[in-house]
Amino acid sequence: MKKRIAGILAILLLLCTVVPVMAAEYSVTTIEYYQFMNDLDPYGSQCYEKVRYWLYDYDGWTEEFHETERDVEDSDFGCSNVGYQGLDEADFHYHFGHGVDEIWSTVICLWDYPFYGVVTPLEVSEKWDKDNEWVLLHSCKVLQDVSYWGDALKYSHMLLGFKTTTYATPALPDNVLRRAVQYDYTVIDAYYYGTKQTYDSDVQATAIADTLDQWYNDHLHGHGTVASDEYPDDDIVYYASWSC
Amino acid sequence: MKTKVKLLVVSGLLMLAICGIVLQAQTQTGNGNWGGIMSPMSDDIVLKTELPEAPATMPMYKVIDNGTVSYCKPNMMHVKKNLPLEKEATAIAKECLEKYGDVPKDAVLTGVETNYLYGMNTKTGEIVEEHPLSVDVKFEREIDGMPVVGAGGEIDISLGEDGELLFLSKCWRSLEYAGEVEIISASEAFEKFKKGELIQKPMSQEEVEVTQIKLGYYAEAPGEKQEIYEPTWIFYTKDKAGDMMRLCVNAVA
Repeated sequence: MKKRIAGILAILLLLCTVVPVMAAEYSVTTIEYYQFMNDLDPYGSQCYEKVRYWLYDYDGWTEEFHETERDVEDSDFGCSNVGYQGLDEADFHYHFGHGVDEIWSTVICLWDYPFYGVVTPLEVSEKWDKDNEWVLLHSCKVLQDVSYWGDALKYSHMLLGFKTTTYATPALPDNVLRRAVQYDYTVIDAYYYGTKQTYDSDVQATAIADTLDQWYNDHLHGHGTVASDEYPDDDIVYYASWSC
Repeated sequence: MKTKVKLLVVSGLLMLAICGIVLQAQTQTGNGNWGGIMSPMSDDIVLKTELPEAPATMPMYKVIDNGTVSYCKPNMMHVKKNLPLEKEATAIAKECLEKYGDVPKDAVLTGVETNYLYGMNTKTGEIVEEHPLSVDVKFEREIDGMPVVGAGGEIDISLGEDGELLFLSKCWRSLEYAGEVEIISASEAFEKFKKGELIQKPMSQEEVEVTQIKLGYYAEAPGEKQEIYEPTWIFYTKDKAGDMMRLCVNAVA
């Protein structure tokens, strides 16, 4: 009997020490200065501060990486399934920067767009299959192409972004993360609320989930249920767009 | 003779430099991208309307009360079975607003829209499921008959099952006349617009057509502090996808 109690106590002690180590992780990429496009300063830094405040300071998440300006590369968006896997190494990723609608697809613009720096949906197709659950792309238009970008969600859960032009403001990550972290909203409710509180009706937001279960039940880690990954992955995603 | 040699050498160097630039561009676009993204700089703005005349001055307003209310029902993004019809939604929204200070006199109904959750096959692009989510009703503010742009000049309501209130955001700051202010002309504002001197910074840069230009006001989002409502030139733009955006330039001289 004593041995059993000692065993239970040992397991509890182990859990107490291991759980904090297993804190959720987030990553951030921000680009404010562009070689050939309008600069977005100082909003990238302000948005990063909001993400850091809610996830690191308030909620105790671990920062996996924060890449800025010229250091933001394709590989940070999880373009590879081997070696460094960028955003797929953290539970939540926030990206801030320009996005445009090219002839063949919508793309994320890196600092030297339109010459070299661009992330296309083809690069991330079926690549998010490691640790990532949620990605917020604070960029114009990228989620106009739901079928292309939705294809990235292999085992990742949700992609949040915009169908139309949007604006640079720290109110977006602030409003979304406040609702998810302080009020325990589901990820989709937090995004709906946050976008509507931040923008007027000209801006159209889009959210894509890999499964209906994730759409209904996903909360940020530590704030409620998180639906399981879709396994095996099918080619169906669920999405909605709304005027903010 | 020497001049000819010099010319040949210079031409040769120029050719080499051009080839080098082209080769470098081709190599760089081959890093797994869909190559050749070399669209022209997309800051083209096409003016498709007359620049309007403007008064010398316009009123500005001091904010005396923030006037913000919001409501949100948990799990509002679940699929619904029985949404109200769009033609019924405005009346239901007005009923909902009775609890939240009613519909202000300077509010204008600007849209009623049903939102859907779609299931899509990403390989074929085919929509395989469609489920209703909510009906949205929107009102926007006008000041002296002029539009107010921004999330702080709206009432936004989402209705769910049998017209149940899912979401409400109303930001209607109380304003007090704070005197007249001189304003810049539409052509001066257009120059600022072309330079990107906008109140909100768009996170894209594509060709847009300016279809209309009006004077009005800009209201910061609920939760943002705003002490004064100043006159604003509002540029109504349309991008290549046909999306309309209102971009604002401060009109104060």
